[in-house]
Amino acid sequence: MSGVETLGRVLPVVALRQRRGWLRRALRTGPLVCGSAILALVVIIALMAPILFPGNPNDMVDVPAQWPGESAATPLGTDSMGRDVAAGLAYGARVSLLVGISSAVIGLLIGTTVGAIGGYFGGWTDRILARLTIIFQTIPSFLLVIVIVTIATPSAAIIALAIGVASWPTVARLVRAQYRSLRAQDFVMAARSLGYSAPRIIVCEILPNALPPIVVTTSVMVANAILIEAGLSFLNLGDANLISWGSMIGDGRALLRTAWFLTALPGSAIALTVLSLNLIGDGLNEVLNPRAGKE
Amino acid sequence: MSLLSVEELHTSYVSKHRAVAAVDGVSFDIQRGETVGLVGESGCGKSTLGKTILRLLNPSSGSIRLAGTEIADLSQRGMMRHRHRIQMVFQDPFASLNPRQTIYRLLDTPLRVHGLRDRRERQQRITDIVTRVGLSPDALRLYPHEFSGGQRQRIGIARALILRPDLVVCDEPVSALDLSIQAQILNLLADLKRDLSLSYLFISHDLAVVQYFADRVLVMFGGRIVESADHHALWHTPRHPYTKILLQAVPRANHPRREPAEPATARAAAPTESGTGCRFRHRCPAAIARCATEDPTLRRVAANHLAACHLA
Repeated sequence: MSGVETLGRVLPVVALRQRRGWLRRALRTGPLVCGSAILALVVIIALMAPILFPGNPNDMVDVPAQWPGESAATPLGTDSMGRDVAAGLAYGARVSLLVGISSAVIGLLIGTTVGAIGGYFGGWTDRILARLTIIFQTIPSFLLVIVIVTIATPSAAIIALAIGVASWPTVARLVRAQYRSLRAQDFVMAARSLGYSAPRIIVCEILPNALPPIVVTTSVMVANAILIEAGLSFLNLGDANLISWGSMIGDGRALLRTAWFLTALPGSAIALTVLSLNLIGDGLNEVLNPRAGKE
Repeated sequence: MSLLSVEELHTSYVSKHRAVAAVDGVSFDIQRGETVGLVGESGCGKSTLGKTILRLLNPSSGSIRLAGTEIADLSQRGMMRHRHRIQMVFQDPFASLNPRQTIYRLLDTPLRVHGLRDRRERQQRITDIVTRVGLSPDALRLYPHEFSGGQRQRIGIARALILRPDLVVCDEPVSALDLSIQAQILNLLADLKRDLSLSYLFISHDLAVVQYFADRVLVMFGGRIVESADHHALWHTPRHPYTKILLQAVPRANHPRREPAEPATARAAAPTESGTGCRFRHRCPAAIARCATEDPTLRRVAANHLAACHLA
């Protein structure tokens, strides 16, 4: 520590270069690069879907149950209703990412608010919010999502909302722990002695310091949301108007013996996307770890 | 009127099972332009006292008057109007600066929070204070981790002074720094006091530092002030046995230590073992029977010299 300190005093430039070091370290960490590459591919396919496959992916385009390579028009084959599997995968990526990201945002908003308020103020505010968090956490999230979706109409927006509502307790607990330890730090004491308001301290002073683990959790939350959405669609509880990886697996299940690729292809898509998000989470954890950063 | 007047102040830490009185009935005054040293071992309550005066902790009872205004029972909102008059320099210059903010932002936010709208004026005050603490205005765009410990403490001092306080509580401001840097920071504090007509409450466990710095010294033990004297009297005619032990422990360059410092009574007196009698008696080399039954109060032993000891 003292060695670094001396260096910084003599040559502030060294310190500056160290600051950019995190980028290089990020690039060097394999998981983050791998994960980002896979996810980038999925995102590009999702964005390009209307260009690559201009028609409606629910339309019948060819003979049903064609194997990949059998027809030039449908390189990844067709399902039992003659729909193009490749188009389904591309449009399914849109649904998965959209639901995954928006539900993670909803979960983050609720969880961060509850966790930050409870953790910063402590006392009975914290006790009430912590109880609420635990109550929500004891409900199996998949069942909660099913209940919400069956009560409301199963549209993509409702599904995202439901998954967000089911997933915030994890964030709340994490954020609460962060705030509890950070609020005792001297820089928060200093902010209070300078007369900063509680909202300012919570948002402007503590939140930026609490962010790294939240960012890491977010990637895992997106992955979980994608899995839940796939599960819902598999059970036919998804948005009926949209083609999704989960519904493709569900439809392909009937032909599992004769045309296993109908299950395997969307299954691999889910696995790869979830894997990429977990890799990103791991990589970010490595990069944002405060201990690694101070060396 | 004293700038700060503290009377019978009590501050307790409440845990699930019990309350610990960290500050247990403390009274003292600070005059304008005065530097008051507050010494004592770790855990004696000196930092708690400093934080209570700033209302970062809530006192359980007692009075804190800042230039005549009672602030002990103000709400945090009501305290807002007085915050700018009393500020704090923290011990650890690494932990006390928000690592995610540039120095400019660290100094600008307090001004904005206290309603200084004019951007140019804020800029001027920031440049002024940064120059005063001996940093270049170029430093403003950097982050705390790009500075050394001594430089960070300069930033901490700048932040404490940006609101132009009357009283600055310095909580061990140099104990985290290298010896060579300590002197620089102490000199800086002395210069700033002269230029900006500040008063300091200087908290330290290091008597040598306090001796250099303070006009008057308060010695704290077990949550109470056991001796209060001006710096000369305390150094030459200490009256409380605890002060004597503290002074013996200060290494001196010119003559060797006359006798070994405090014998093997390292056990720190927990503030909770008050019960009856003097709370220092278990460690006191001169304790008599009366010490076990009667708690000595702080009384006058000479002009401007108070001590809480039956034998003083």
